[in-house]
Amino acid sequence: MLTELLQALGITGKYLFTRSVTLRYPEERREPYLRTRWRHKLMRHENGLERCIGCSLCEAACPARCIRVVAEENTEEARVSPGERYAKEYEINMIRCIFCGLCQEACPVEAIVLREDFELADYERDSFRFTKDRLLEPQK
Amino acid sequence: MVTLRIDDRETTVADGTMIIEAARGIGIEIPHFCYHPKLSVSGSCKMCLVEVEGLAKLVTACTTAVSRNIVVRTRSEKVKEAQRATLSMLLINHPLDCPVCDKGGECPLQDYTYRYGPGKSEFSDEKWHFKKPVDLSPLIVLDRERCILCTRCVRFQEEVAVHPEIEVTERGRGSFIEVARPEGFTSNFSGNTIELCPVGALTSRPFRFKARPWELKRSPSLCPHCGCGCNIWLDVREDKIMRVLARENPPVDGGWLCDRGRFGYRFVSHASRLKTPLIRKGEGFIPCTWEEAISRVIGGFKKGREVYGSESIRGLASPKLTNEELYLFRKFFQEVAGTNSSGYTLNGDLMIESLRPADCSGLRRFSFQDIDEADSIFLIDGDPSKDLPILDLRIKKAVKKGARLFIAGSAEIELSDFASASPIPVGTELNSVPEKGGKGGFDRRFSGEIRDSKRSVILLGRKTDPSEVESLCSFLKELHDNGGGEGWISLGVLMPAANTQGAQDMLSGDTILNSQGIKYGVPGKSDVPDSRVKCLFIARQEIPDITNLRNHLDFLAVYDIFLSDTARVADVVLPAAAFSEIDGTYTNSERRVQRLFKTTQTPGEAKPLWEVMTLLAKATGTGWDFHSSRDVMREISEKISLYRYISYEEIGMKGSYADGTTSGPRYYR
Ligand code: SF4
Ligand code: SF4
Ligand code: SF4
Ligand code: SF4
Ligand code: FES
Repeated sequence: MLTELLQALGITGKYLFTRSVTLRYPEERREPYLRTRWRHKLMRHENGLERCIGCSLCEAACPARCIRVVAEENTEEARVSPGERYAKEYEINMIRCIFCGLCQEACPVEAIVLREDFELADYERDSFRFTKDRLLEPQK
Repeated sequence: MVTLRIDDRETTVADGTMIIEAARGIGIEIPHFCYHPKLSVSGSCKMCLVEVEGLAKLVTACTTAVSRNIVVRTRSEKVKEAQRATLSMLLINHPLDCPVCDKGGECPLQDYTYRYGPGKSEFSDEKWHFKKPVDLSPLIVLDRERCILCTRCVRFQEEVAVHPEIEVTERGRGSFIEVARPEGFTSNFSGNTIELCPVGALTSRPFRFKARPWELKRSPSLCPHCGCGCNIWLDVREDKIMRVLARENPPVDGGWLCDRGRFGYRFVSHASRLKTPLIRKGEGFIPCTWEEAISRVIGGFKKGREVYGSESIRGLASPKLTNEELYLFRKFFQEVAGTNSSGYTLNGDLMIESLRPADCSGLRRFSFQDIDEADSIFLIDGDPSKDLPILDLRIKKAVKKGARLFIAGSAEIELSDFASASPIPVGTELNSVPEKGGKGGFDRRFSGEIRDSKRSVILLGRKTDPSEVESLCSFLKELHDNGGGEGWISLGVLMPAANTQGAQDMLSGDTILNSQGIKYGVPGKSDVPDSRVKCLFIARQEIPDITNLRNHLDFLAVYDIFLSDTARVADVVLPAAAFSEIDGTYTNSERRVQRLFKTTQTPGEAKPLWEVMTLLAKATGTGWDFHSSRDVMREISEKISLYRYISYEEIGMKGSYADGTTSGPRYYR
């Protein structure tokens, strides 16, 4: 019995002197993996136009049914995206999202992408409704 | 009859049937674009190629008639290769911009490409580009890049609408669809081309980018805009009607819709719909609860009765209301308010009343299908193209088949182009030689044409002078009884509003419950207010000269969906439910009772009229036991003998004539 006790203490002792894997979050942070899938972003083209063409394919692909897209027609005077169509409203209900990335896969123009921003906790249910203004990449 | 084999299954079809139809009959799908069962054969797209044993080349199934004992293969390697090649050809210049195309998700080209084709465009060079989209009309948008030149749209306008306003211009691969007339694409039926187009080349301007097909919830309904009662689908997204599509009910609409029906839905979700009851405060209104509004109305009625007697209370309902609503409307005024005088204004109400069943017993009661069999059609003072647009298509079809069309009336109408020379030229006064005691002069002049016919359809329009109807009826009866057998003359009235016939039946038309049909006006002149009326309840009706009428009134309550000019001068305004927000029935112009279903929510606190009437009755201490429109229909079928066979279960999705039959001739008794 004594030997077993010493063995266990030995293991404990060994870990006492190896490098710790625990990070002191939030003070300490780890570089996220390149393809980590967290909060969405709606991307823009180089020229500042929105990529999203309001096609609702992400909405159709989403298994959690948490995306809502309302499209509208571009005019020459007020162009939001290239082509005929853009998303006037775009919403993701982040509480329901399971971060599966199917929306990203479905998008024909690489507009919706899941990125590294994982700190999504909040106090209000309503604040999990990510509207277009929150999702959209800021103008460069 | 011919027996043949298709994909190892035997089928027997009539001579002359095309292979594509024979296959469809046994549930075998042959992909196709230009073929459409209701249009002429074109044979231009080559999508429907099939193999017939013994023939070296593949044949197009839409242009090849069946013959005895042939063996057809629709899925052989040769056919698959041909289908793939056809699709590959079609995709050479097709933009494949499905993500932004309103047809995407319900597009035959998309579906076939996945099922039978390469799945993508195999053409690697730069495709042709055109300016897009092009507005063909305020309602229809053309995308030239997507068009596959199947000519369905052109054939529809040419053959069905008989209004060839669009055409294929240029030749070969440079050809495209274009508006052919300087006045533009103005046809009343242009919207059907959107539904016919097998790709996203023709799309709807009002529906543009409003929703993808998979976001829409589809519910059955009826068009509320005229007395045809065309069957429609309502496609709803987030409780808003996004578009209207045809729901084929051949005896009624032939599967088509007019543009009024197809595009007239946006009023339902309009921001200015009334949402709460309003009561007058000085010059304006303040919102109030239903309890307050109801007690105001009852208060108004009570005061009127005390001061002027019950004859001073009137109700005035519109033929846009459902049977259930109208029935309780009348019941309230008759049984509760005790005025025995619920009234209605209907365009053309006078002539309907003059068409007493006794005057024309034995004549066939008009149903839309009578037009298909007629060899002569008489339009008297009516314009179906305006009042009952879908009948316009039916009449044109009959004329194409050889029926003669005679038009009498004060002005030329759209159908005049299709008419035979009439013995009474348009513009001449009808009944110019009235003989006292009936048999007016104008009728006599038609007798030769009617007698020459085997099947004759006589249609009276809304402008018919009621004083002429009696003589016309007795004249027709005389003609009818002297030849041809029962029902060779069919007589009908073109009833313009969605439920004109129902309003007639609910408010005054029945033998058991005849309320004498007192109108709000002086008898015979429905537009002159009856000075005895002091308290008026108007349901969904606009009164042209409301200020004048208002000056005679002590109290006015208006039930409507908008704050109309009529509602603006009311003491109490009640918010109404629109056609997609109620369960109920409409009776169309041929007295077919059809169902409306509650599909969208009423805005705010708006209520259907039957509920309002129940509340009013309750407020006066009369307990009515109606909890749904179904309960009301149950009572209607007990109380109104004409409707004794009608119940929601019996009506089903396709409607049923009021006498319980769904087809076959009906007669005036
Ligand atoms: S990540 Fe998955 S669940 Fe979340 S929005 Fe995209 S498709 Fe929907
Ligand atoms: S994010 Fe992509 S898939 Fe979603 S609507 Fe926009 S373009 Fe379409
Ligand atoms: S517009 Fe549509 S219906 Fe007309 S020819 Fe082109 S593809 Fe056919
Ligand atoms: S014909 Fe009448 S019922 Fe039919 S779609 Fe047109 S307006 Fe509606
Ligand atoms: S469907 Fe037969 S050729 Fe077009």
